[in-house]
Amino acid sequence: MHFSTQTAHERRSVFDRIVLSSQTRFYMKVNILLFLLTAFSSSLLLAIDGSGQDIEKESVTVGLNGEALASGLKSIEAQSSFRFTYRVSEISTYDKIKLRTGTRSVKTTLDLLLAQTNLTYNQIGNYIVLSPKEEAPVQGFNVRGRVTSGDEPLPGVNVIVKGTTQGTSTDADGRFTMSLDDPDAVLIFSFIGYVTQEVAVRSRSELNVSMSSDMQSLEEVVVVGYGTVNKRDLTGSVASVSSEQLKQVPITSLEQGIQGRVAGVQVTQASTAPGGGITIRVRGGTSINAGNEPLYVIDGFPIYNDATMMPSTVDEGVSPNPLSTINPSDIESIEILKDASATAIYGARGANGVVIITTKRGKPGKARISYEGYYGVQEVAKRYEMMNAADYATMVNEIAERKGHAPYLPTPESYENNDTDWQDLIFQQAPIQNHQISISGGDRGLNYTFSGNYYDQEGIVKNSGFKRYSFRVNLDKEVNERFKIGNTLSINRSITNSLVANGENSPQNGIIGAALTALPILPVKDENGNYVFANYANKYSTRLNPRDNDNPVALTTGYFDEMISDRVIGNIFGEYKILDGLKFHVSFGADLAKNNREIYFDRTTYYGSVKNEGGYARTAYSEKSSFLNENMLTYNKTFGNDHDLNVMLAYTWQNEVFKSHSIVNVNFITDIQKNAGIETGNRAGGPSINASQQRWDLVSWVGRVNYGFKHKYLFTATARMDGSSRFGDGNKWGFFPSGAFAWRVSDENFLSSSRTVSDLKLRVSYGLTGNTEIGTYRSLAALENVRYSFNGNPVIGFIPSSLGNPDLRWETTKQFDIGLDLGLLNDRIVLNMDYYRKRTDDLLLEVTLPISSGFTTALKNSGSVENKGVELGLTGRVLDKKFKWTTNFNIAANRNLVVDLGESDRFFGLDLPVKFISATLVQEGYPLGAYYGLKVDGVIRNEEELAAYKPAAQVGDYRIVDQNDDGKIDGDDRVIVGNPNPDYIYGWNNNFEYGNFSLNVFFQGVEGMDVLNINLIQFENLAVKVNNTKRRFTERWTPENPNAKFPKYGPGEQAVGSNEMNSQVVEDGSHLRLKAVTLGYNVPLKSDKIHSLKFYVTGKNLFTITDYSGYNPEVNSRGQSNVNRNIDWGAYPLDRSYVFGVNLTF
Amino acid sequence: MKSIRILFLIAILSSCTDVLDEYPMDFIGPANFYKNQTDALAAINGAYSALKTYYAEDSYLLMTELPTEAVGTYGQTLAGENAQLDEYLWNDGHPDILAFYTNAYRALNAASSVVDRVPGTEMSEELKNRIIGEAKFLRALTNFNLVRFFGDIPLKRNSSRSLDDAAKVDRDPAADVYEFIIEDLEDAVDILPLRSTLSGANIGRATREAALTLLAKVYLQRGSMNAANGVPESLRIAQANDFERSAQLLEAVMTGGYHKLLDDYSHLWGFGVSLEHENNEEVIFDIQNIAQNGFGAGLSDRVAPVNSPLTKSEGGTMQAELPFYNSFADDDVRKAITFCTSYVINGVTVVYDQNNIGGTGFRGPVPGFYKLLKPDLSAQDPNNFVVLRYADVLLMYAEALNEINNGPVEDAYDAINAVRNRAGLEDLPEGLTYAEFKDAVFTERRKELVLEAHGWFDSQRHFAWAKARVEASSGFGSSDFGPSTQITVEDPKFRLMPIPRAARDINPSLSQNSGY
Repeated sequence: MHFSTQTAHERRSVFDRIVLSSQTRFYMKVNILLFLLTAFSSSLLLAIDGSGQDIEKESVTVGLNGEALASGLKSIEAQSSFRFTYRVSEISTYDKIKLRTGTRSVKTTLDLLLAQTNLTYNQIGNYIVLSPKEEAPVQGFNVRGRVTSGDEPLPGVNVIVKGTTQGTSTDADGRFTMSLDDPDAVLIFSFIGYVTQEVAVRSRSELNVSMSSDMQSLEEVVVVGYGTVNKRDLTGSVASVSSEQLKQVPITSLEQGIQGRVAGVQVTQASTAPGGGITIRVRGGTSINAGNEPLYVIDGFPIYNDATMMPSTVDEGVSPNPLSTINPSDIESIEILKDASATAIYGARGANGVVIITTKRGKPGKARISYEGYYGVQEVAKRYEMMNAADYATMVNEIAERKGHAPYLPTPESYENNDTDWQDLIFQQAPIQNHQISISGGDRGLNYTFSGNYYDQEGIVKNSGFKRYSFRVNLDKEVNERFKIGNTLSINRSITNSLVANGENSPQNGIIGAALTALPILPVKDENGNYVFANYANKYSTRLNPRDNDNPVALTTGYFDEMISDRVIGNIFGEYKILDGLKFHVSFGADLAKNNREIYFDRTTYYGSVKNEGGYARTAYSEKSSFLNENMLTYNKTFGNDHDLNVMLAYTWQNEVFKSHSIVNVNFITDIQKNAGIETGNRAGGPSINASQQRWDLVSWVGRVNYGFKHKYLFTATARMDGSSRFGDGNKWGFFPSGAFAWRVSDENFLSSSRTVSDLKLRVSYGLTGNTEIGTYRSLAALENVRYSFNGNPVIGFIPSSLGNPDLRWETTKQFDIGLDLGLLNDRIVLNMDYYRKRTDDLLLEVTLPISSGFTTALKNSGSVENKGVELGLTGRVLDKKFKWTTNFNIAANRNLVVDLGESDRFFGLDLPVKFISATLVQEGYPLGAYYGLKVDGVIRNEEELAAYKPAAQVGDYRIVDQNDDGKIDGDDRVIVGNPNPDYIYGWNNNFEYGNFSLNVFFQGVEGMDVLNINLIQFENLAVKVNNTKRRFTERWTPENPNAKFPKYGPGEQAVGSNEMNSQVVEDGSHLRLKAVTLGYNVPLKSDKIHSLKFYVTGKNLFTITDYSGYNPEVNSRGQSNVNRNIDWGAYPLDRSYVFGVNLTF
Repeated sequence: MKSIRILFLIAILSSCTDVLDEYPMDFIGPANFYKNQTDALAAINGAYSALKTYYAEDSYLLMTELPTEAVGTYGQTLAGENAQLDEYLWNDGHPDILAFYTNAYRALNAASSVVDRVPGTEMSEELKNRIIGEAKFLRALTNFNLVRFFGDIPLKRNSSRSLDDAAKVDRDPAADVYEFIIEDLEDAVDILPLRSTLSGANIGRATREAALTLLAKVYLQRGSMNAANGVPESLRIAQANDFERSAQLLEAVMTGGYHKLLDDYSHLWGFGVSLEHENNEEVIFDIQNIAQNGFGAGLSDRVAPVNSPLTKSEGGTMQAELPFYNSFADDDVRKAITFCTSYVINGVTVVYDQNNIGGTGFRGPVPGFYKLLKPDLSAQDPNNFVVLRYADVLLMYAEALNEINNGPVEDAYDAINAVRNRAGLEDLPEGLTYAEFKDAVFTERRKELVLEAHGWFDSQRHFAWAKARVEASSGFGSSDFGPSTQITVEDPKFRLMPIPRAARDINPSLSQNSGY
């Protein structure tokens, strides 16, 4: 007969402990999960019904002669199917129990035993729970005190009487008072970020406690989906970015703050334009046609960052970033869930990772007012070197000569009067500024944060910019001990001024493309002061016949593009503590976004005068309203000393309605009214109007169980069941389970005394997640309306436009992850490593159909993609004396492979902006979106090389590899010529501190990634219609320069393969960038009125080491597409900026 | 565990299944379409629109006209898509060939959807029959265009209604495609109403005369696919009596009493004049356009003189080739109506002068066309695109009789002379041989029907003549490039266009025509 007793070394738990008999322990080992769930569900039953059914039927024979109560209980357990649970402390005092030996029912036996104690019991299934009878409160012992850290009072510290649930928390001034039953009680003081302390009261009525902050990062709380977890108990792969890190680089949008900070997360600024789009890939792209962006969860509200919800430009181009409406300064932390154990809680939407954003909330304490602001200037970091007027004239005259024509521009020197550097005319130095005021504190159970922010960035290309105004109120109110309510509310307005993007009004270029290709011999304006258009060059020679681009300068003044985006994201929530450890949380949230975009080309532009007489106006409006209800039950309990249990069960429902419409009109009497007078236009056939409406619903059950044994063996099981309206009948529901196990090796005896290893944890997880980002109504067939007329009478007709697929179902990603967290030398060096393997099956694939079917594509579940990779994060406190240096390095390599395409052999990126037949390929055995085209093997240098080359060509032509050796160059000679997926990505962040000075140096890089620079096709072809790069001319093949990089020019220069996709336009996009350097100075303050004051200067994008010839190898002119990646087509240039900032807190 | 599972089940069964049903808000699905007369009319109107898509965009016209000696392009390097068609440099990657192929199959599916689904709708049998007849005519026309360009093609006898219908298929022999076209047209001839019975908003729909004319054209084309025309053996599909059948059908049109030659050629193509005379008696079938967004065509900019005030773009896609322009007699009334040789710019009228090119006057080195050119720069072309007209009937008749009788007979002379006389030209001299008369018919066809999408197909019916004309004109290479040395028309690839690379990328089992 033996009992478990409380051990002395338990240091953390402040929860009730229940000790189970040894038999039960054995039982637990056998079927731990069953037990946990039963315990959970029986706790629910406890609240409803405590009566037993069998307790009177089973009989036991028990006799005690002044023995411990526990002996009697043990005896009952041995003879019956019942097990007891109780607190050791509550029964250990009853050690002189007597009972005449006899055979009685369990009930009678218990009644007789407990009559000698102050205990009562409840039966739950086979468990009998003993607990003290309710007693009238006795007049206790009062204790009060103050908790401080250094000189600062610490508000909000939890003060709990050890061994009970009785507790309070400190007020704004760090003070607490409480009444104790026992003057010798021990109080436990705990607060996030501080070392938990136990203090024996020893009849003192006043206690002053000084808490020390906990430097061990392992004590951090990490936000995971539907709850939080201590970092040391984490079983999944979750990375965090703090608000401090976000502040290190001036950013427009929160995703920029993640870049380079987290291993395995590739952030690509698709457009560097202010407010421009961003793409994120967490551990590689899993899908081909469905979405690949992670799910964002902002204060509990799931949002997919779908760029297609933004009102687009006239047709193509990168959409502005929907998340830029959210103010990064409000963010407390960003957590990125990477492995399936972490993401499966978001089930059908978790396959591409989850980014959880938590905004700042008030903490108890006096109001803290802070101002953060910066001001800076930005400039263009890099330009193309284009030809000047004399270069251009020389080029075209040589081309004329080869064609046997007279010189087109006979006097090259005469055009220098009009030597226009178009890039120069559209670029500018531009200011950037940000101001934020926040007030935060907590008082009488109400914690609050108010903030207001103003951000204003002008673009380095004239006529572009981004402004944001945002306001936030986050409140938490403790109504009573059991009931809390709160809210988050943010109201944002952003104003984006975009540029004309390439692809609009094909074949016309956007402003960047126009500036690069516009002929340098053109003046900006003619003698009458009007902007000249490209065909002005025909004045010099009709042979030039330039491309009908707009005048780039006209586009900086005559083009108006303003999008006003308003977004309100908010929720209210209530939390009720039903029982100890059992809480019910309910929330209602809404995300309301509306975007109004107005575009106007006035009549000084080519588009607004020649292409569309009398101006062109487009007004586009879109509105998204998303509502969310979440109901969550959580149960937290520590059983005995060693068993930590946390169970969560939730039901959620989300609904979203999206509406949009747009109007185009042209031919206005005057440019004065712009879009405000859009109805006054006179477009032939009337204004063009488009409208769209969509709705989807998602209904979900979510569950999670965390179980930890001795904090050493940690188990997590999650499951989510999602029902989505987007899939075919009969395939609406999907089930997404996951499991994880972590072993804290460092807590084992053989390591716990190690001086070297301070922390070591091994993690392994496996789970399923899904993807629903296919848009709405994709399982249904559709007809489209089309137009015709008979004898002048317009009629509307319908023709089939898409085939339905009633079998459409989830895309499922299975992910395995194994990880290691290692802390050395008291966590002076921390290493995190992960290996993962993700396989996505039932790919939602836009399968190309045979053209003869009359359709081009259909969405089907077909094929598989695999991503596998390693991630490594290394943090070190290199120096921590007077001079401090902490460094953080992360690196990740991902390998992406199309494993299977089902019935498709391969397919192509279909809508590349230039009329390529195909430039990107999806094929089994290759990575997603590989570049596909003809391979150029240098230039044919001389007659000998020509003789050795079979296909028709001339000396000085590109030597295109004749892959099948059939003596001609055609589509069969195409091969993979590039891979947009990087070999590895890395970031390196360094913090130096000396006295009041601090220095932060942040590098970020990508290695082994190719970029498709479509620009080169336009301006490295030596066509007289457009300006060319200088290098194309100076480094061309001539008999005198046989080892040239570029081919010769002249007749036939493009006959072979050069208007096809070829390897010459694929460039190495590897780069290393000094992303930011910040030098800060903390002003030492004597006054009490100012809490802190810091000045800093930051330089952003100070240099980039790369071989890429364009503006910026980090580019994605095709937005979020996973098939057409790293495409540079008239992309916005990179900015280099210098910023001066102040942080001030009262 | 059990209790949780039960909780899950209860919740799922009770609460949320209805929420997940999708009710589309902004489009129509086929499940609730094809029910009644309104739907059937909308479906056939959709099939006309799908046909317009490839007739009103430039791909189809570029493919039929640029490879002839009559039409050239300007302002592109040899890599340009238009220059490739003009200079016989196209390959299987040509975007216009792909665009036509794609749009043609879209149009086929639209027409087949009507043929397959309208029989099940509740409506008057008479109208139902008419609609099905129209759909068969439209389907035959598109199949005929496909088979003439590509030879063997995947023959789609039915519409695609599910993913199973969209399976990968091989090419069917051109002979089978012709048989299917003939079946469709014979049905259409039986069902369709005469032109004289149409009025108001039904004018522009396919008629019995249109089906007769197209069927005659089909027989004529198939009949010419023979050894005498130098057609490679694998492509010879001519059947006995093809020319006889063609002639009989054409006689049915000529004796039908409705269609005739207009007296004034400018009523057909006169710049700023022809719009008033649309739907005239000479037109047998056309693509109907009006100047509203989505209801018109986009060809005007392609034929306007380079950089003239008559075009919003730089223009120059389809320009006259000089030898062709010069081949028109000055008293040929068609010359001034077909070609655009002057325009007003900044208040000054500039006139084309082939001896003074590149100056500050007329901006192009060659004339543009008035034919297809609309009078203003409004968004879309309002002018109808003529597919079949009576002059074509007469010239086909002359051609067929010459083939049947191995030389011209009086009716053949009468037919071609009617066309010549209207143009202000004298009768052809009598006593021409078979070969001389055939040359004369094709020369007349070129002048009468240029830019009406007959060029490439005519060339296939009289290959030797076409080859000689192309070589005599500017050779391969317009004045901008100089002659090409690498390519001749003898190349077997110029009998058929290539199956587009993209189609074979998707379905690698599709074979390719010889020479590509």
